Amino acid sequence: MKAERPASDKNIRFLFLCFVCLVLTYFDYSNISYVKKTKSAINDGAVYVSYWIVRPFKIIASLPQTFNEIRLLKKNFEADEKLKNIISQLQLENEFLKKDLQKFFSIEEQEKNYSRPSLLAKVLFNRKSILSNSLLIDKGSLDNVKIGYPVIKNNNLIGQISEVNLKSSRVILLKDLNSRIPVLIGEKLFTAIMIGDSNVPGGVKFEFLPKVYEFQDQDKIYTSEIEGVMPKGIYVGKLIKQTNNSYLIEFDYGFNNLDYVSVLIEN
Amino acid sequence: MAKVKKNYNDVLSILIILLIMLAPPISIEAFGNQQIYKYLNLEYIVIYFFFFYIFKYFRALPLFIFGVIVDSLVGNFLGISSIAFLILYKIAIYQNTIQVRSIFISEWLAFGLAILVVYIIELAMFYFTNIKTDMQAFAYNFIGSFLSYPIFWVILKYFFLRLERFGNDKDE
Repeated sequence: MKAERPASDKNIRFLFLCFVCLVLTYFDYSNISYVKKTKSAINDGAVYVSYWIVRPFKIIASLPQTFNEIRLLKKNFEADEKLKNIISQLQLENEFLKKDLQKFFSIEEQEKNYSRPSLLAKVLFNRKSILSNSLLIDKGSLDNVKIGYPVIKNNNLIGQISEVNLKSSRVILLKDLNSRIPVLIGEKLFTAIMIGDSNVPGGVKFEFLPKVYEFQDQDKIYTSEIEGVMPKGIYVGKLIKQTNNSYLIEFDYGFNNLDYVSVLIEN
Repeated sequence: MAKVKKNYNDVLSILIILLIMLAPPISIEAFGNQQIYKYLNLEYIVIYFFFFYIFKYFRALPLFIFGVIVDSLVGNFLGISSIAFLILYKIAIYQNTIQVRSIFISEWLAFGLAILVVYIIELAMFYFTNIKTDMQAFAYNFIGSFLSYPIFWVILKYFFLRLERFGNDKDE
């Protein structure tokens, strides 16, 4: 039978592990290059091990959703016939949309810059806590991903790369407390910094707005290029005006259930 | 020769803690959001429970490794969660050794005190490493974890007592 360790041994072991924790934190905080490489390897290991442990549970948990999707696909197939009729109506509405597009000519330049090559990445881990609102994706420094690169889903900005490991990276989502995105708002292109804040409705707020500004309902929000942090013209979301001074920022894409995302990389 | 009783509770407890650490992506898949994690720290609850009831094969080293995994996944500086887990472990064991009578209320208050100490130490480490923190979120998380302890206590206690009884019946 295995003998129980004496209490003093346990105390020494406990103190030693606490000391190791503090040393680890200090090295990680001090950002030394060889420690960074070790951390990258630890992060990669932890991410991929966790991914494979969680995978069977995720598959089981997603079964009801999969059945729902099959049912929806069947419904969609039936609805396709009806949609054909609607297409003719939409063609008429197309004229209206062309006029609406003219509103966005002022940000034409930004739209051009948006045509950067992208890298499809799989979401390995979607971990949220009171401290972080981030994703882990399967592309890292070996795939030329760098810190600060924007991450999009269906042409909507969802966050940016905050940490790069060898074969994985961390994406800090827009609603994260540490997220800072320079943006242009509305037709008059007011500049501001969009900051994640879990205490406000919508999860984000604007700071550093001009002294005089006025938002309209449904004003679109795009990224700007202040300090070269982010390429111009990526669609972020829209404003929903509530009262004279208050507004809600609405994203067209949810942050849950993300399976694949795209990382916009430099040419 | 007396047959040595096999006890799988310790292995099971390690698996439970590991799964709880990795639960957020599973819950996203099943329920679509993770708001519950803002108001509840399940990891602290189960770690405290298992150490308070001294699961003897479950020692400090697995906790240290679990902490490093959590830090890797959350994006903290390595070691912050490990030290929080280790301190919780030490407080739980200490509170277990000094308890005279087994009254649930006193255990509940002891749990509150233990996680309060851990939160304070964690906040101090975040402060020294310049990590931005939301005090309100910490307060909600503390209150939520404290208030929900009895629910998880009932579930875990019932589950593990049943397992032990089942093991004893088999041995007879």
